[in-house]
Amino acid sequence: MKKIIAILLCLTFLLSGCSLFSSNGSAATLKSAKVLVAEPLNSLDPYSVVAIDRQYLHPIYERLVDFNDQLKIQPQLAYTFGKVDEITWQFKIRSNVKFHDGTDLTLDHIKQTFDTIQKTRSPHLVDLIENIKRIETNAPETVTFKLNEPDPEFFRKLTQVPIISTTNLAALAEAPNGTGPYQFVSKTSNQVNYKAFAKHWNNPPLIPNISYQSVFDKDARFETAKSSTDVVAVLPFSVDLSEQLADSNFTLRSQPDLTVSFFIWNPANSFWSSAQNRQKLLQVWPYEQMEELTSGQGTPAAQFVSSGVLGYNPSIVPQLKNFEERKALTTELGLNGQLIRFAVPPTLSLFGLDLEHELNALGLNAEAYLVEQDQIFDSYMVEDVQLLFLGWRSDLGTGTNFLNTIFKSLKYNVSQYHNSEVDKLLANLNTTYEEQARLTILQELMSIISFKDPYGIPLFYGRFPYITRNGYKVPVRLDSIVLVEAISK
Amino acid sequence: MKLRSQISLLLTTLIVLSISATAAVLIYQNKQEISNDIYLNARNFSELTASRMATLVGEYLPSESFVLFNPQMKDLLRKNSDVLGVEVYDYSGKLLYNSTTEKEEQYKGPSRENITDPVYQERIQAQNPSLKTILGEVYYLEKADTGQYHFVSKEGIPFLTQPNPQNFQIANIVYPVSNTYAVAYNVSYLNLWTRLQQAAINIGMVALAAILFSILIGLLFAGTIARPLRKLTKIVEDIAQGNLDQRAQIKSKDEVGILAKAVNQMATDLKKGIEARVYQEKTQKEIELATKIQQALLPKDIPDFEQIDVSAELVPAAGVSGDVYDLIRIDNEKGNYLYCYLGDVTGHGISAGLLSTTANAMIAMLAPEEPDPVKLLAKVNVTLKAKTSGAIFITLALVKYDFQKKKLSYVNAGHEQILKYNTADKTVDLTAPGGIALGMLPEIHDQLEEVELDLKKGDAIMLYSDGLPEAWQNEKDTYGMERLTETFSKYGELKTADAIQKATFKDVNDFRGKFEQKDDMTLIIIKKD
Repeated sequence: MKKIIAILLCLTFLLSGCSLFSSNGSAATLKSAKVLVAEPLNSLDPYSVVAIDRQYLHPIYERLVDFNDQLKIQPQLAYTFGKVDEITWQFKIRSNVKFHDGTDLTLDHIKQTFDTIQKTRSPHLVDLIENIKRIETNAPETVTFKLNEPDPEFFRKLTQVPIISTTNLAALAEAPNGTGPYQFVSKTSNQVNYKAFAKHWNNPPLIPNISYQSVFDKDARFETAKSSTDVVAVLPFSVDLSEQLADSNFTLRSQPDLTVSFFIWNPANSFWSSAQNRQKLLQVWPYEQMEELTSGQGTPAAQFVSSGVLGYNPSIVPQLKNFEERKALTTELGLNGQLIRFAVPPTLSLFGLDLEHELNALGLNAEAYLVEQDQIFDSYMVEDVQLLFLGWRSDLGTGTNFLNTIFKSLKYNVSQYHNSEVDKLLANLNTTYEEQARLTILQELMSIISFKDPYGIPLFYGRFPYITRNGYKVPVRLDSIVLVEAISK
Repeated sequence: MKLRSQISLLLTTLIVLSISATAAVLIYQNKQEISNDIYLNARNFSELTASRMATLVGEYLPSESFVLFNPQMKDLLRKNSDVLGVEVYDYSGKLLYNSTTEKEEQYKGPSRENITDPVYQERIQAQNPSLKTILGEVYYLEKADTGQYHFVSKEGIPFLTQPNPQNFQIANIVYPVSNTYAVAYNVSYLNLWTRLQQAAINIGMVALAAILFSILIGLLFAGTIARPLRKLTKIVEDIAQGNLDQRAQIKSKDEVGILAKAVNQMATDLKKGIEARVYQEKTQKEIELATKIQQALLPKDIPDFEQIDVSAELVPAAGVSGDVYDLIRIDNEKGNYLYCYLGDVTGHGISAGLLSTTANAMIAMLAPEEPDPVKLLAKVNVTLKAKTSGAIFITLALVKYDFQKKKLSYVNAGHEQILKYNTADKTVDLTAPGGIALGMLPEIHDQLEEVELDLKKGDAIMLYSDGLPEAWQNEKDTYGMERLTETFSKYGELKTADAIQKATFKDVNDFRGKFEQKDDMTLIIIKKD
């Protein structure tokens, strides 16, 4: 009996030792990870206008608040924040934050960041902060923003503002200095290297070394991934190569990107000025053809924002019917022979022509009108162009900007679409702060403009395909930013 | 207190203590569970309702639509009876609504001031909900993607060691909403105490029933033990009173049955013992009587004789002696002589005493008419042989002193050799052995011989029973003939026979010390004047 117990004890110790060893072993082998992207880094300027640069620089810089992988706001340099009154937002700043050069983050750094943006008028940021009247830093730990006008989603705009330590952007372009979990090490023409910041306020990330490598050619990008041992993700990935994944150590993933392509109405045409007739067209619209028409790049959309964006209404789904049903419905609804001319940019000529063919097959009188994108709004002047092609990217993860822009801007509301309920809801939206309530309003708005009184015809939203190495968890945000600090095995 | 009562009390006490301990544990566990329930309910309730409450406050109160607001709010509050009330604050800490004071109408007083407690303000402005215990501790909570809550710092960093919420008694939970409002839920533990009270009552009722039942069982059980024990007690009392025929009629196979059996056996043994003791006492009395009678038959005083000095002493071993001696002075037509003899019957005790007494009587009866010591002993032998079993006989040394002839002779009938002290050189002679014990054969005349001893003035002879040389000092050392001879040689010069006798006995007793006297000791000294 005693022997059996001794053996069992030995086995227990042995197994515990093995598991301890193995867990230590898995952490120890994760020394570096590489992300392959298509485009190289253009600039280390934290306020670079190039979208891919923001991908590269994301691990270095932090913001007062940021998005998680589901585009939900989470505290970052500010551990809490809130609305004091309609035009006042308060942010409480963490006390133990250091820049990569060892200096402590202070409230002045935050104020200086916004001052720098104001001065330099960084194109993609200045619109975001134009509503800031002043910034106060006279209370401990506290940064207070006084706005010109109420903005219930002000904090979302702050996710685009990296906090910097100097007003000299040129210096930062040479030697990036942020508070992020990784600090800049070096760069070559096609690779940027980082190492974990040991004094990060949230403890250093698990992987000591991260790098981004750009490989433009999609095949070469995939080959590079397959032949490596440290590549954990490839963004984007061409679905043409899907069949080769079976022999690789990678898995295909995709998620909606934040861009929805759609037509907007020019209801100058008396037939299509009726909301009822516009609804009828939606009933026969070839949604199920969208994926084919976009060569597999698009997913049929029935509303103007994609899944994951605040305002997305899951109850609004494309009405998928087969061709015969739609053809019969076209006749039944009296849409036969109705002219429907839609403007598309030349880059989408194939799409336009295929769509034209589809609509004509139903019995409509459809015509694709090719026009350069920057002239597309002028095509409204052509009376018989009823639909203009547009796309919208909800960078801030919310449909609010789309709605505020579309309906407050003459440029995007050339048709002077007007709906009193929409106006009322918009007014309500701009004074509603509670997120659930905002979501309800946004979803109702989406329902009206997508279906009840269609502002346009949502076509498709893009998908963002990428691959990750098997056995690794690589969080990729809906705006395609890889959260490298959260990569784990 | 009676045994039954003692057992009942002990059992009941044990059961009461066990039940009380169990009840205490149950109540404690119940308290922990209910406390945890209240915490979970309050936390979940706040998670589910905070947003809605904030929306209602934001939507209706600014426009003073309390009539629309209040029923909805009350409806929400009704869903959790542990929540006493709620307060809704804006981000700056200004109280917007208090369900306790604004039950039926909206607050319309002066503008409320912001809260001043910095910790409370932090909680209102936090990203995460927080709870405060009645001890004043504040804990922030964060919900993970898995849906589980864990405790974090004010800045959202998880604690390495998570506190146990079962140990909390919560005063309030503050649930921030959309960075704009915060809803504070004041938690009541009245329900806890009510439920605990009820649980305690329930447990108490069960415990009481259990106690009563246990008392009943205890009494029954006690009776089961006590009844036979009472019976046994009565039996033992009767036995103690002397009624040794009492027996316990308990046939059970348990310890009580074993005890009853033992008591019965004890009574039986006691009866036998008492009977044996009575017999022994009776026998002892008879022995004592026989000893007294025997002692009475021995010469009480030894008279002074002319020409010789005689001293004699018999020390019996136990009770009736097997030794015998006598001095018979004859002065008649047959002659003027003294018969002095010492006899030793095989064994000692009553049977030996009876034989020695018989021999004593017969010699005393025949001595006056028989001046021939050989014939005397032969006649005594015939009678002894006829009247006794073959296993009992008597050795005897008979000394005759003829006062007319001034001569001493002796006949030895199988007895110890007579010692003669010679005063001239202080030596001691051992006379020749001879003869045969009386009672062994029907006729012994021819085996006996009268031997004359030349006794000069100051000489002495010693007659003794084997009890002297065979006196034990320990399990292996005896006094012995050599020592006896030496003693006689040493003390033979003493002036009187009595002095010699006493000195000899003293020496023997000194040798023997505290060792038990195993045999009768008889000593006769005859000293020639």
